[in-house]
Amino acid sequence: MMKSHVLIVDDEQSICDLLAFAVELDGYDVTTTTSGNEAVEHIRSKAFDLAVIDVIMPQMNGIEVLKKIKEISNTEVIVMTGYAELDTVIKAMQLGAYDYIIKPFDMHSIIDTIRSGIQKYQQKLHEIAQLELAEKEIQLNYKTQIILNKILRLMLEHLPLDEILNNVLKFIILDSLFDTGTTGCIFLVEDDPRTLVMKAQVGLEESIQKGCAVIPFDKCPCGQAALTQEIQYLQCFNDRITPHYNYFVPIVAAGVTLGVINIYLKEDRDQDPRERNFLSTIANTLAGVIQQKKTESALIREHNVSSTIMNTLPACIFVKDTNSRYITDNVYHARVFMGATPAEVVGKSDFDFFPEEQAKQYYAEEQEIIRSGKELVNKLEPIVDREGKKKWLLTTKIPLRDELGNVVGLIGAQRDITEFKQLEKEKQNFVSAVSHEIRTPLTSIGNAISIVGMAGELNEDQRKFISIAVRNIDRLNTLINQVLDISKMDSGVSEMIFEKVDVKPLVDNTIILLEFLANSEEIKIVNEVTDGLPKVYADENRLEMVLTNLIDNAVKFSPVSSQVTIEARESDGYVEFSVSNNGESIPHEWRDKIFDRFRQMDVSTRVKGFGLGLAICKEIVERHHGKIWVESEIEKGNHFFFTVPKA
Amino acid sequence: MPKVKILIIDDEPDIVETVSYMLKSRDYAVITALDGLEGLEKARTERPDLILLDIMMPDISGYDVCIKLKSDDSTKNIPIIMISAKSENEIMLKSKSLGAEAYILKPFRLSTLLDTMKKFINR
Repeated sequence: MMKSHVLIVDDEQSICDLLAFAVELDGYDVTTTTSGNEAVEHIRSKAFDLAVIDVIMPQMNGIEVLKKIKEISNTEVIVMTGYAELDTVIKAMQLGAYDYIIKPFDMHSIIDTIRSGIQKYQQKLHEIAQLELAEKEIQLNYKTQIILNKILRLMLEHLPLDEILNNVLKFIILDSLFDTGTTGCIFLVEDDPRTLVMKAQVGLEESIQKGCAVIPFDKCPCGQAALTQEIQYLQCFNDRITPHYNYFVPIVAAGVTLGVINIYLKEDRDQDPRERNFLSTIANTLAGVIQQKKTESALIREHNVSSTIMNTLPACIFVKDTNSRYITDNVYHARVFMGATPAEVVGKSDFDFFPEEQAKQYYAEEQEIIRSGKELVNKLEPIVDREGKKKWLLTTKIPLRDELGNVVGLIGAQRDITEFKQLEKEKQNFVSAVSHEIRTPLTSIGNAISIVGMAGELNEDQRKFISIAVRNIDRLNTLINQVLDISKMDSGVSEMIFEKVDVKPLVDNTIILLEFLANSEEIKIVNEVTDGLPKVYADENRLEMVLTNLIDNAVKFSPVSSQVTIEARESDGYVEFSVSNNGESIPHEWRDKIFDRFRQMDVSTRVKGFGLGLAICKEIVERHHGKIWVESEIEKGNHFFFTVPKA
Repeated sequence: MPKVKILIIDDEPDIVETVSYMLKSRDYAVITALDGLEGLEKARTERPDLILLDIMMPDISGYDVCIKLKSDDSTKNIPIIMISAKSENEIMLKSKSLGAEAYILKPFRLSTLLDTMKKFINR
């Protein structure tokens, strides 16, 4: 331990000498002076633990020397004074003197006082040192905190990672309390998990930038730090550069090395453990930032993938909130049907883009989905695009749920099947054209055969074969009619257009058409349908097909000079139609078979004479969510019923 | 008593031939035309008692022939039975709205045709 220094100030040299002698004996280093001014000079030039000052001196008195010393140093002061000068003592104590000695003094007590003064000084020095240390610690933490905040802010500002790394380097080199050099770089592990790639640097020579651009793990100290995941302080020897001292700080998250920070020092020097802590803290924060950035860019990539898919699909995809406002829309839907970009659609609703009636319908439909949580699947609907072209969409809308299962909106997907519908129509037209073309030659054949048949001079065999020909022309004709019906039905699979239909005009019209078609039998068609029935929700053409089919059948199976009666009545949410005749009653076991499309197609199971007509009726009625059945009793005739929901 | 005179207008010679043979055998007088123009001409000059008119013909369709006949005072009272292979409602309705008296679907039985014709000839 260093010797404590004591300054003795007294205008009497003898007292100086006496005291010096005693104090030196006690093991202290002593300086003496007889002048106050000189005492101050001593204090200025050297750190004294303690000064013993005589109060009464010429020129600068002891009190003034005390003041001066307290101004410029931490030196403890003991004043020497006579008995009569109590006031002076009080003043000295007020000015910060440690103690006082009354002359004439006892040498033992003065040495004790000096010892404890020195002890006080040492203690004070220690306290000051502690204080300074604490203050530096606080400052360091504060600085570190500022740097961490800056790093986090960079992350929040969505800067690219390379730019963040560059800034982090600058913070470490310029803003930290540690005396680093002005050079450093940061490596990251990229695609190859065992290789560091330099992503940012400050002050590096170009040759090093090139030479150290890629460093495998375990090569060079940088690679070592990456491999061991431990902060390293050592001299880097490398044929590319002059040897230099560096910190190599691994950036690690969840046990995986993400990169290495390399900070050059100006020279080899003592390591402050807090410097390591500081660098580790920065590295840890940076690890978090890098992870975040990676997640972010993965999310962005994922988002880009899905939005690219969404926007290149030739189909409508949109997401709406619980108020049917668009959260997302894709290019196809926005452009083709709303004449806008997806961005222009967001936040708006269908009322901003579609005719009110249509928007209302969408809204009601979607609110029902959101309310009930039930999806709407493959609804066929017509729509007019922005160019005024009529299109057909197959719409699916699915409730969108949050992690708790609450419905928070809906996802809509619509496929444009206009082309498909057109093809279907062309196919139907083709089938129809071919069928119609067959009818004309069939007429000629029939006529020709009839003429031969009417000639009269035929033997039995000839007559038999002519009747076979006539029967088969009829069969062929029936077949063509059914192919046409089925082709219409099949094209109508998705093309049913439901609207509110007035029952009475529909029945009237159907009967007029049937009567207009010449019929040779003397069958009267009686229309008992009255005004005032509720409208039904139906596809008018299809409904007419059902009526025509049933009436046709009823006429066909009626005895000569009888009548066919058509009735309709309201029944529990439905309108129930009936077509009745006085024909022979239909056997009980046939009553289901005659409506069965497949049985009627199959030679082995079909009921002859009915063909596919009733099967087609059943299909149409069931698509209307109605029922069809027959009631038949001997003497009471046959009653065919079907129901269609009220509008 | 003069024979009832029937005009057949159809571009299908086989139809024309078989129908006219059959009608002649039933003691009708038959005039034929293989296209619309000829049909119009013969309707004006021959004044038939009834016209069988095919809808689908090249150049002038049966509809147009029907319109012309029904708008000409000299022919408008001649009953017309339209003949077509198409059973679509709108075609039938159109025939009716153009003033045709009846509509018969191909293929038809001769007996059906005769029954239909009688409705208009006996009047």
